Amino acid sequence: MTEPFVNEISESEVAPDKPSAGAIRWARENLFSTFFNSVLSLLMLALIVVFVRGLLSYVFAEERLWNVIPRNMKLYWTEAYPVAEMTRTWVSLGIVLVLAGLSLAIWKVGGKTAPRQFGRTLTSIGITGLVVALLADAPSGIRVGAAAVGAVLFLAGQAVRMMAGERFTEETIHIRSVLLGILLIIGVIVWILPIETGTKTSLTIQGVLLIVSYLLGGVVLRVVSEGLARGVLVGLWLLSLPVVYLVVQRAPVTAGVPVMSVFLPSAVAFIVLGGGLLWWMSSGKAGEGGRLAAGVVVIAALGCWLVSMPMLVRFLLLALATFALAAPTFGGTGKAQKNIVIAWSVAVLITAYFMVMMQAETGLVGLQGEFIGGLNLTFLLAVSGLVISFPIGIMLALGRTSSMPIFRLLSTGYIETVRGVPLITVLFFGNLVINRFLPREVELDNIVKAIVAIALFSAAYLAENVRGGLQSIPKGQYEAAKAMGLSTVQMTVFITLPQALRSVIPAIVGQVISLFKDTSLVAIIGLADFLRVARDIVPNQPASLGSLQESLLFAMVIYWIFTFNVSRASLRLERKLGVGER
Amino acid sequence: MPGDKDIIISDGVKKWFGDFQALKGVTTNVKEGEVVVIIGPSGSGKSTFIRCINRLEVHQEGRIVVDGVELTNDLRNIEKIRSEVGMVFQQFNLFPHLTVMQNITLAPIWVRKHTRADAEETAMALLERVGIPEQADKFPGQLSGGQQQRVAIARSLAMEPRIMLFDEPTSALDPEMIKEVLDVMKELARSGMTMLVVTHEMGFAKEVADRVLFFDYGNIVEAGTPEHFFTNPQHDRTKLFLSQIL
Ligand SMILES: Nc1ncnc2c1ncn2[C@@H]1O[C@H](COP(=O)(O)OP(=O)(O)OP(=O)(O)O)[C@@H](O)[C@H]1O
Ligand SMILES: [Mg+2]
Repeated sequence: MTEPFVNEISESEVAPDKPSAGAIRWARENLFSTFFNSVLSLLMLALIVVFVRGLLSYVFAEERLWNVIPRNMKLYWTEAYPVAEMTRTWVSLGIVLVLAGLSLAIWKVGGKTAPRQFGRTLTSIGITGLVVALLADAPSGIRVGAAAVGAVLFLAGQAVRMMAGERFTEETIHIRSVLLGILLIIGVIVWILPIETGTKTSLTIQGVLLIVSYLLGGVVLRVVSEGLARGVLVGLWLLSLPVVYLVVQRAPVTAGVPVMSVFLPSAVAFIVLGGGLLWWMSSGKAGEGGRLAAGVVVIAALGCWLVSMPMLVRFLLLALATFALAAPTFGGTGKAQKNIVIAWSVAVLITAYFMVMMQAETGLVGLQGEFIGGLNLTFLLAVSGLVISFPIGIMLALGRTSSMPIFRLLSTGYIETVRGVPLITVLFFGNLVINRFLPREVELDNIVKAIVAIALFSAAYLAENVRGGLQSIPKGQYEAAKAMGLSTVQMTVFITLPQALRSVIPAIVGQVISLFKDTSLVAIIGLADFLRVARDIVPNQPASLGSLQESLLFAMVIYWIFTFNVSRASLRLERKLGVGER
Repeated sequence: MPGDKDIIISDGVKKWFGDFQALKGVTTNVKEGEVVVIIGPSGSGKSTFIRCINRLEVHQEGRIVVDGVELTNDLRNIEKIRSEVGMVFQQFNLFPHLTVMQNITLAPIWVRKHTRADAEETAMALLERVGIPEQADKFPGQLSGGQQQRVAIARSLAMEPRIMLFDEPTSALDPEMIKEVLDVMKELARSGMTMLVVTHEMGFAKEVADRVLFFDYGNIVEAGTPEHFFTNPQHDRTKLFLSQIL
C-alpha cells in the first residue's frame, strides 16, 4: 500500500490577491529569492533600462520626422492608386471589415475575462507609460503626456480591481466591450492626428461598419444555425479576395472580352455535360464505368495544358477532374447527387465570371499594368499566394506519400527542386519564363506572375509540413478507416488529412508568417509593395526627404502587428482544436 | 447456435513477411453464428490470420472466401467485404478528432449512404447497447479505455456487419475495465453474431466459444471445443501453453 497522500496547496495560491502586496511578494519570491538571483535580476533590470532608454531616445529625438508617416498614409496604403478612385479601396477595406465583424460574432470570438486580468493589463500598460516618462530622452511635452496617460491607466487598473472586490477572479467583463473601447480610442487618435478630413471620415465609417456588422452577426445567429452561418461565411471570405481585387479595385470593362462567343458557351457546355457526367457518376450505379470516366477526365485535365485552348477550359477541366474524383465516393443518395451537381454548376459560374473579370481591361482612366501597390499589394500577394498554395501543397504532400511511384517521383522532384532555390530567383525567372508555358494570347501581368511564383514556391514548403503531419498519424488510424470500408478518398478527406493539418498548425503558421514577410521580395520584379514604398518611395517624396529611418521603423511595426496577430490567432485555434486531442 | 453455412472459408492460407513465413497453410472454416476464439503464443500468427480475413494483410497463397466472395486484388470485392466485416483493435483506433457520435456515424453515412438522422438514431441505440449513451458528444480522448473500446465496438456494429473480428480487445485495458468490454462481447456472441476473437481471456473462451483454435508457428496446432481444451488437451505444445497461462 502506498503512503496516504495529502495535497498541500501553497499559500500564495489560495491567499487573496492583495494588489500592492502581491507585486512585492512576487518580486521577492521570483526575482530576489537568493543573493545570486538578486544580483542577476538587478543586472538584467539595468540592461533593460539601458536598452529601453536608448530606444526611446532614438524614437523621441528632435530630428525624427514622424509626421512623414501620417502625411504619406495614402502611399503606404495603396501607392500609385488614382486618388480620384480611392473610394474603391475604402469599399475593399469595408468588405473585409464587414466579413471580419460577422466572423467575430459568428465564431463567438472573445468571451469574458476577469477583472483581475483586465486590471492587471491596464496597470501594466500604465506602468509602461510611467517608465517611458521616466526614462525617455524626449521633449518634456511628451514626457508629461506619457506620465499622465500612464498614471490614468494605472489608476484605472487599480480601480477595476478594487471595484470588483471579492469577485475579482470571476469572469464578468465582456472582451467585446474592451475591444469596443480600444476601437473608440483609436477613433479619437485618428481625429487628433494630422490626416486629411476625408480620410478621417472614411476611417470612422469603417469603424462603424465593423461594429454594425458585428451586431448583425449576432442577429444572423438567431435566425440561422451556427454551422450554416459559418459555412456561408467561409465561402464569402474566399470570394472576397477576387471580388476585392478583380472587380472592385480593377473596375474591369468587359467590352473586349469574348463573353458571348467563348465564355458563356463554354460555361453552359460544362454545366450541362459535366453536370450530366457527375450526375451519372454519383448515382452509385456507374461502377467500373465511373472509375474509367474519372480517369479520362483527369488525363484530359492534365493533357489540356499541352495543347492550345482557352484558359477557362483548362481551369474548368481541372475543376471537373476534382469533382469526378470525389463524385463516386460522396454521391450515392439522391440528395448527395443533387448537391454535387448544384455545387458543380455554381463552381463553373464563379470560375467563368472571375476569368472574364481577369481578362477584361481596367476601366480606370490613364492606367495599365500594375497600379496596385503598397500594403494593398502586400495583402494581395500574401493572401492569394497562401490560398492558391494550399490545395497545391496538399496535393503534393499526398502525392509524395502515395503508393503510386509516378506521383511520388513527380512530387518529390518538384518539392526538392523548389526548396533548393531562393524565392527571389523563383520570382525573377518566373517573371521571365511563365509566359513561355502559356498560349500566346494570354499575357499575364507582373502581379499575377508574382502570385503564381509565390504560390508555387510556398506550396513546396507547405507540402513538407503536411507530409510531416501525415507521417505522424498512427498506422491504426488507416487500418480502422479501411476496416470500416471507407474508400481511399474518404479516408484522406475525413480521417488522415484533418488530423495531419491539425498537428502541423504551428509549422503552417510559421510558414504563413514568413510568406507574408517574403512578399517584400517582389521589389526585384519592379512591383511596389509595402516595404518598397516605405524604403524607396516615401523617403523620396520631395516633402519627406531624409525620412528613411522613420519610414522603415513604421514598416517594421506594421509587419509586426500583423504577424503577431496571426500567431496569437493560431494559438487560439490550437487551443480550441486541442479538445479532440488524444 | 452456429448454423450450417460456412461464412468464412480459409484454405491453405500462406503469408510471408519478406523471408519470414507468418502463416503456413491455415485451413479452417467458420460457420454462420459461430464464436471462434483464437489463442496461442506471441508471434504465432493470430493477428496476421484475422487481418487477412478483411485484407488488412494480403495472403500470398491459398484461398479465403468470406460470405461467398473470394478475396482477390479486385478493389470492389475488398470494399464489399470490409463493409460486411467489422474489426475491433487492441488499441481501439478511434478517430481522435471526431466525437463519439461522429466516429460511429461516419461509415454508415458515407459507405452505407444512410441519412444522417437514421445513422444517428442507430448510433444512439448502439451506445445504449454498449452502455454509454451519455458519452455521445465527447471526444475519444475524454473517455476511459474501457469506454473507448465499447465505442469502437459500437462503431463496428453500426455498419451492421455479418462477421466481427476482435484482435486482443482487452489487452490494453486496466483490469477493472476488462469486464465491461467482455460483457458487451458476450452479449454480442449470444445475439448470434459470427465472431473471431483473438484473446488471452480464457474465461471468455470457456463461457461463449463454440470452438477454440490454438495457433503456434504460423499454423493451427489444435482445434476443439472449450471443454476439450481445458480438460483434455492433446498436443504437447497446447498443454505447455495452457499450463503457462492458466
Ligand atoms: N508487418 C510485418 N512485417 C514483418 N513481420 C511481421 C509483420 N507483422 C507481423 N510480423 C511477424 O509475423 C509473426 C506473426 O505476427 P502476429 O502479429 O500475427 O503474431 P500474434 O500471434 O498476433 O502475436 P501477439 O500475441 O504478440 O499479438 C511475428 O513473428 C511477427 O514478427
Ligand atoms: Mg497479435
